[in-house]
Amino acid sequence: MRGFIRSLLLAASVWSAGVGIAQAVELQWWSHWAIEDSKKAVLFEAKRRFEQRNAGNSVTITFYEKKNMWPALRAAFTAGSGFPDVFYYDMDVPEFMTAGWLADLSNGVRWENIEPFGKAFWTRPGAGGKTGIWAIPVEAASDEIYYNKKLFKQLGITVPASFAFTQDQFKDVVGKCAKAGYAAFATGASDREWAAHYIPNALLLDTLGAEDFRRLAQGEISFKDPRVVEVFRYYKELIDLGAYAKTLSSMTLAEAHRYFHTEQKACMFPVGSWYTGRAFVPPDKGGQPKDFELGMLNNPVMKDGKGHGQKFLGVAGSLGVAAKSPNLPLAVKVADAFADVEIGNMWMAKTGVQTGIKTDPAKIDSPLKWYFDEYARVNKTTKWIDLTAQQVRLLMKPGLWETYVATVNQGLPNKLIGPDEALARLEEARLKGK
Amino acid sequence: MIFLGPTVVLYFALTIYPVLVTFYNSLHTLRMDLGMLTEFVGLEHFREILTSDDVFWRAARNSLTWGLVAPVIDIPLALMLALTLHARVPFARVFRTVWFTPVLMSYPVVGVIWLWVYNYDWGMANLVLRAVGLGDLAQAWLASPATALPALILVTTWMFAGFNMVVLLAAIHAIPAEYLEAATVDGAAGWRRLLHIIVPLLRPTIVNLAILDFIGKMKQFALVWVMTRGGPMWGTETVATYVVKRAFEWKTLDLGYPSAIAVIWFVIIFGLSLLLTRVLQRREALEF
Repeated sequence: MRGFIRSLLLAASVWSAGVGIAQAVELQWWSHWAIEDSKKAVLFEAKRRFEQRNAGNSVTITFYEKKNMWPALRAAFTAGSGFPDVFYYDMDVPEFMTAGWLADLSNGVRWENIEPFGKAFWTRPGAGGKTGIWAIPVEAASDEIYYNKKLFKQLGITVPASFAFTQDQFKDVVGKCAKAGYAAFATGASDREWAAHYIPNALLLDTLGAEDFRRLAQGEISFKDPRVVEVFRYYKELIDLGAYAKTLSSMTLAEAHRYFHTEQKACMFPVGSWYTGRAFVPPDKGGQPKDFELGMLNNPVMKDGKGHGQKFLGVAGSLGVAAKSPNLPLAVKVADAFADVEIGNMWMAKTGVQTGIKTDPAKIDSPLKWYFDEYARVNKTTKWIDLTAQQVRLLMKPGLWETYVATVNQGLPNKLIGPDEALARLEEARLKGK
Repeated sequence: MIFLGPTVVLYFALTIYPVLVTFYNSLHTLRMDLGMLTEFVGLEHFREILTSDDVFWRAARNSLTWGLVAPVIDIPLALMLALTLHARVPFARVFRTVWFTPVLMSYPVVGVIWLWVYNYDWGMANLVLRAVGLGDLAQAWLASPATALPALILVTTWMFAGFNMVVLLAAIHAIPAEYLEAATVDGAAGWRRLLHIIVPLLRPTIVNLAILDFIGKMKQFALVWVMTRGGPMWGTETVATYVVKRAFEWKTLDLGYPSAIAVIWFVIIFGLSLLLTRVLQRREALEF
């Protein structure tokens, strides 16, 4: 009898262990931000919370540089296997939504903890035109022009009270920097196809205003429009003055950060406000030196411009769930782990980057408070336009975007072509694009 | 047949099937606006590529330039190295290892190394120019279409000279010593012996190397992807990088158009390889 009971207990324990094993799921999560420790800390906290709430299940995060992650994801989704359950997502690849590769997160996520603008951003038509909410807006960012305060002082450049130079003043600033042996802009375009778009986009926005900028990107306004021609010619003048470093085409985004704050070889750094994610880490991990004096500017004010005081702001790094994940309910719970005010607070405190998750400013205890104050001061009267340099691709037809990259990210800043040739190519692509 | 079975299955699954799918895709397009439906478009992609796709023609020109220029540089250089080793210069073994090593490295590693070499500020290319007083020639080598493609061709030359050298060295060793001795007795030495005895005897090897080199360069992808991604301004775009961009980077997700490019390029490479073989290979075989 005792032997029978022992066997029974053994069988029961083996069975329960088997059930346990069968239920335990290891979710796969692919993420960008491989070299951004402050953001990784928040990701690991969300993972920890998920695992705590869903005992027995675990998440493995594999970090990539997103440039390499997109083709891997596309190949996996196209093949229908090998894709992760959860993955970093942003507007670099809007086609993922229409292809039906993203799960609709309308249900299962505590949307009351997400900022309305973030939810609205990801509420779009997906496969077959069916509207859904496709991602959690973890990161939000504006297109900014940072500057080196010490260098400006040294070169005798005074920033106006509005933080915006006029068109002529801005040209003068670029000239002063170049004359003193500095690049005006610390741009590295080798691994980002939009890296050199910030300044021309800012000039076009200020000249055309948001509505016409969008229409230009959508191909509804000609690149021969006199206002556009004027902006490109002005931009070429800046380039000819020495706006960009000769290393532009071989410099990566990470190297551009160092070029700006550590090597201090450039006066300004036009980049997304996610700058802080890389810069506000210890210097030995690639962050800006402790004594580096960071300043912020508003877009230059163009003559007769319609977009004065406007700046681009949009949702950036987000979290998507694979529609065909075999563990879909659990994967949605991983995404939901981000829909939490505490996670929003932690994101802001650690990274200094805006977020689409709701936050409680009173509870954000961060050494970056000075930066938040500076950001608020510079952008006090800014009118935010829902778009960023990275998201312009979303508006452009296939073919036009590729030409915009070739001309504005490569040809013009490298002085390979002039404004007229750039505009002719863009116009041709606008008329031809699918 | 039983022994052949697995190989045949693998060959069909991994080679024949993808080729057939590529041909099939080239006649279709993906309609994202119709819920990811595939639509038959006949030869429309081919018409568009051949009549109005400037980037394709630019990429084809770059690939063809690479394919034709590289063998002309690679093989004479490799022959020179092989003859140096054959002459048993001091430290020949060390040189053989050093010259052969680059081919053992993968394209991404080679690409990163040469990105450093070409760096404008601290790359070795510009440092050397500045050190010898030619600082005015220092430039961002990968930033201009005029220099970027030659810079990449130089990288593949560096990479494959060792491989070609080893093959040619083996072929030189296979030349019967009597031929060379007889030539020497007849008064043919130095250049004359090289041009009239060694090179003709190496002709089959040289032709095969040239064709392999040509095909390899016409398919060039990885190095370009790592170093320039086809830029600047399509200056180093190859057909392979353009296909990958159209297939995996354009937001159309359409595999039809890039498949059509792949089909066109397959036909061109196949045709040119046949032509080169015919032109370069003599009908009468040399026997020794």
